[in-house]
Amino acid sequence: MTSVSGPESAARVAALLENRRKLLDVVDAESARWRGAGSALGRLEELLAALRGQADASERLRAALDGSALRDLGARVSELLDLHGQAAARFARGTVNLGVSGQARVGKSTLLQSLSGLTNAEIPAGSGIPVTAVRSRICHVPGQSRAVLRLHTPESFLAESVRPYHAYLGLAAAPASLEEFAGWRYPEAVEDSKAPLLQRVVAAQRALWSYREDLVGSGREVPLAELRGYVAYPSQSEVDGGNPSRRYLAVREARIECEFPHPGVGRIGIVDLPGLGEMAADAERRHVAGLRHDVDAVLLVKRPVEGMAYFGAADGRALALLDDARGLVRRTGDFVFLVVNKGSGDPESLAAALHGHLTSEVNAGLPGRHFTVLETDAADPASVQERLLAPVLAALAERLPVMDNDIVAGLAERSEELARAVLAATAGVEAELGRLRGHASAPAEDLERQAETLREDLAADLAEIVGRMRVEAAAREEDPDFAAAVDEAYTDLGRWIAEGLGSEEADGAGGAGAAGAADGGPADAGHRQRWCDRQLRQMRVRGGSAPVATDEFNRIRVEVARRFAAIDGYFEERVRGLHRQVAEVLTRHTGRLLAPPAAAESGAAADGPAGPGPETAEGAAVLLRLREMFDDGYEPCPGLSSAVADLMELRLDYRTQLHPRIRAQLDGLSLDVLDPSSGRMRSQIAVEVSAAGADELYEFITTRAEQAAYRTRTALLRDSVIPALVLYAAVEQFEDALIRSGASAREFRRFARTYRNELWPGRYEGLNSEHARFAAVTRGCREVEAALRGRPAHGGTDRTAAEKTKETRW
Amino acid sequence: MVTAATEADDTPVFRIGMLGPSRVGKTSLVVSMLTDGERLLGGTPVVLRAADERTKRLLRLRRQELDGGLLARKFDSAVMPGSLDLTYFNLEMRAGQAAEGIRFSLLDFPGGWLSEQEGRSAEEVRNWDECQSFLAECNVLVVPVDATVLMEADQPQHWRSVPAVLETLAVQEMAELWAGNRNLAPEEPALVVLAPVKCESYFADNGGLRDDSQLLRERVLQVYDRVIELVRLNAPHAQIRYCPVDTLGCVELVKVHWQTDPDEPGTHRPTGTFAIRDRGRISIVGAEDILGAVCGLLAGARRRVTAGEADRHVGRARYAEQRGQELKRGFFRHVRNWMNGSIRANDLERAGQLAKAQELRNQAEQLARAVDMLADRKPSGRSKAL
Repeated sequence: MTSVSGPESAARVAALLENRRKLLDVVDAESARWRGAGSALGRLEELLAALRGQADASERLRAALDGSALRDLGARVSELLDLHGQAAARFARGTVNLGVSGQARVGKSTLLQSLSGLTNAEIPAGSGIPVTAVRSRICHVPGQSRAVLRLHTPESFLAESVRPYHAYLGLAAAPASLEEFAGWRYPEAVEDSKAPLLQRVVAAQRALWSYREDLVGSGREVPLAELRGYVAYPSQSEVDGGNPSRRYLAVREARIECEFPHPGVGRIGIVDLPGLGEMAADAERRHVAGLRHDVDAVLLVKRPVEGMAYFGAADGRALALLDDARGLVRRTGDFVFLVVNKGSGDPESLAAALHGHLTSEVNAGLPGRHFTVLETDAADPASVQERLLAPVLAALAERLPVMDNDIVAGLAERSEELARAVLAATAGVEAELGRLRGHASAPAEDLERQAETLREDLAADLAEIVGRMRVEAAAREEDPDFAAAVDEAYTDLGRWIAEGLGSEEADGAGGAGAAGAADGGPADAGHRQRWCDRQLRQMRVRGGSAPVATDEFNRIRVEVARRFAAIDGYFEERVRGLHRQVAEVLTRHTGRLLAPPAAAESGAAADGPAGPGPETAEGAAVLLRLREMFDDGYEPCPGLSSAVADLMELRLDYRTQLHPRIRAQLDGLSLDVLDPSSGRMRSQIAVEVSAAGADELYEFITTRAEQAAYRTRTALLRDSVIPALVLYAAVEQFEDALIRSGASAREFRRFARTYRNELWPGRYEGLNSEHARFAAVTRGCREVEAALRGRPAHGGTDRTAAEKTKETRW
Repeated sequence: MVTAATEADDTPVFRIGMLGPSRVGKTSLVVSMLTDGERLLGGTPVVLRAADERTKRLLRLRRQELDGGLLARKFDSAVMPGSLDLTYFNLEMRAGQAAEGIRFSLLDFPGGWLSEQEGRSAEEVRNWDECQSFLAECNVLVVPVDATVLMEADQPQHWRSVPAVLETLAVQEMAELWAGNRNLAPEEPALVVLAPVKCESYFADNGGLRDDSQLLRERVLQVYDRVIELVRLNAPHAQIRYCPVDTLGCVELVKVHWQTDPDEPGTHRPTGTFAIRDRGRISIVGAEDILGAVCGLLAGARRRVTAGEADRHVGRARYAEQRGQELKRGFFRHVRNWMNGSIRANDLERAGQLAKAQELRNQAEQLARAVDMLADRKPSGRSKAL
């Protein structure tokens, strides 16, 4: 172990803390993934329950899909999420926390005083009886001197401080309110081993008067001078005085902020853990859970005094508890330091005996083999600094990253193991579904006729849409809405040009003056003047007009393209319109299958993706639902699904479809242009660097901008038939793929078999409806798998939550 | 009203009819032809100029308008509904101080004449008679077409307005009348020039960056298809040429705004905004092709007269005139009058006035060479025989 100076050690600790925050990303991403997987597992379990709960479900099905494996997995996911939460808390923490623990009377409180600089007035240190009753966290805050208490509510007090005693004492019931607790009649006597616990709970009952008012459940800031009254057990004299105050019972935790006397302790926190042997019933377990969250290392204090200078059974239990507390940290020795508190009056012989016993009991005869044993005089701050704090921080500087990596690796290992188990379980469910399929029967011939009729009906109605689109495309008539969209963009661009080519935006001026009408009036003259002033300055800076003209042309080209891209709104509406028309046809002929969830009865249709509202129920959402049904039916229809997917992927936009066709209209918006007569590039304009030159340049550039805008508009209107052609081609392709592909008839029959009850409500009532529910369960399995792959099947809520967490923490 | 030059002085007058709505660019076209003629004849003793004060004034006003636009570096243009006024542009080509030369009389036919025959005043009836008389005499018909109207029509309502804006039905009917007249004298040359004007933005050979000339030609032929058909039907011997003209050459279309005509709610009329290109120096292209085509007619006729091929036709024309028939003046008679300079020079020579004879002969030859030079110039790449 390397000894380092306080400041150096503090700097290393600070660097370690910064580095460990980077691990948060990994943990957060994994948490999000497992939250998604957990939700999906829950949904799958519900779907299986619904399947089993159907009146017509067969015994075989109920037995095969009992869902117990999924419930177990759900619990394991919760545990894994807890571990991730603990790791995240650890990595997000801004201090390295040292826990101080040990049996009563080993000088733990004295050590805390030496570490923190607090005195007996704030942290009581007794000799002979336990004095600290509350877990405290002491932080170095320069110039600060206060304590913040987290208080119990009546409910949490009863749950955490009273009921465990009742359980341990074997009492049949426990008080549900403070009134019940106050009037509870405890037995006069219990077996000897339980007598101390009975005394404690009775003492707590009798002292209720002293802390009842403190059970308010909120934080409370108190001066350090008053702290003792909240955290210390009553002294023997107080006990002897009869029914002393026990306000510590109302305190869940204390955070003490003060200035530590040691150099380089800026990022160190100290957690005072009540003596392990002194805790209330069930408290040890809770303490261990708490340690996992809060401390990076524990100082287990021993003292070489008569009767305690050995490593006894209680020490073994304490060490076992701490071993449990290290969680995913591989080496207990990284986590626990044994501290021998040798006071100046403590006999050397006992100290030597204690060291010897520790070597043989915990280090297998070789000092430092498993645990580091440090010796200090807890009452001497200098000794504490030199012989305890410095070596511990040096060790942590070395081992903390190792421990953190242990945790990350351990989480990954567990995640992988659990993911394998989950995937095996969903595969098992799907395999069972496969085995269960086909045992149901339907009047096959009738169903086939219905499937063919459905296909014919869809063919007829889709042909009407195709026909309408064909007429529109062939007529080459301009769509007035398209012309309006183009004209609107053109007018908008004209306004921008007239307003000094957006001189307000460039100046960052904005305001009411910027929105003046482009009428050549005083407002326009103002824009023009501002442009000229700015560009004249630029010309002077850049030594001529060419760079300025080049920049302005570039800017205008971008702006022209950007403003005409506003017609995408029109395109989106056209695509939506087509989706709506097709969806209407599909909905009309598919019974209640594609009806909005609210209108549909329970079953496959209602189990579809996140509920489309009334607006989105038409169009794309209907197509999406249908596609998923094609995919997830117990007899999938990949050809039909692909047809729908292609129609959904239809894109119509300015940038990819029209801009390349009209790009040439912007050729004039360059300083250098190709002269067709000479075949050489030539500069269109050069002006002198003067106000007149700037004005001339403005005139030239705005004229070119107007011309390019006009030509672009004209070219777009000439190509106005393109949207109709694209839509026509898409819907014709959809019709062909859906109705006339080689697999169409076969897949329509599959589709009919899968969703017959939804497609033809009432026609096949009385037959089991397992098929549709099978499909829902299959979808549920896919959702689980998708969540585990990190891609939530619907929405993306989990990812958003993860991002939010990240934003908050960073 | 200005009338055509009379025959009393026997000055040869060649008549050119121009068909198209007001402000389509007819005056500008005449200015362009005159300006380009001046350029081409520069360095020769022959000049082309306005032959009378009214023509001078009309052309000067138009030039002032154009110059003003160039100075302002931006101007608008709009094609207006046709008026009912007859307008003559009289130009003459003469050598040095010669008392005689060749006169060209261009008549701006108002398209509205054909569509509004009801309720005309007595003067309007006389004007119409004059128009018909002119049509009977003119061997050349120029149809100026506003290229902007054809090229910037991009919406159905624009296309629906094109016939009204360009008055194409009136042009068709006039062309049919003209071609019928030409068919009465099949030996005489006949020429129709489809002349798109304001073409600067659609060619890349005169400072422009885009070449939409093919599209322009297609649209002209599409819209004037019936005119071509009627001419070919009624005057199969007539030449038809396509001669697009950059009237100024240094302008460029910026944008066009179509507005509903308040007097004709169904009609949209375009207003073009033009910017000045480069330094604003006028650079006319295409007008020389029209001049060349007209002079080609004259040069060909002179050669035929010289070869004696035209005598029979001249005699027939004189015979017809004596009987008060339609063909009162023949094209070749004017050609002969033009050539009379040489004949009169021979007479003077025989009379011993050698110096005067030589001067007259020189002037006649100079004029003939100038006509030949214009006629024989290689047409620009734009001009096409249809």
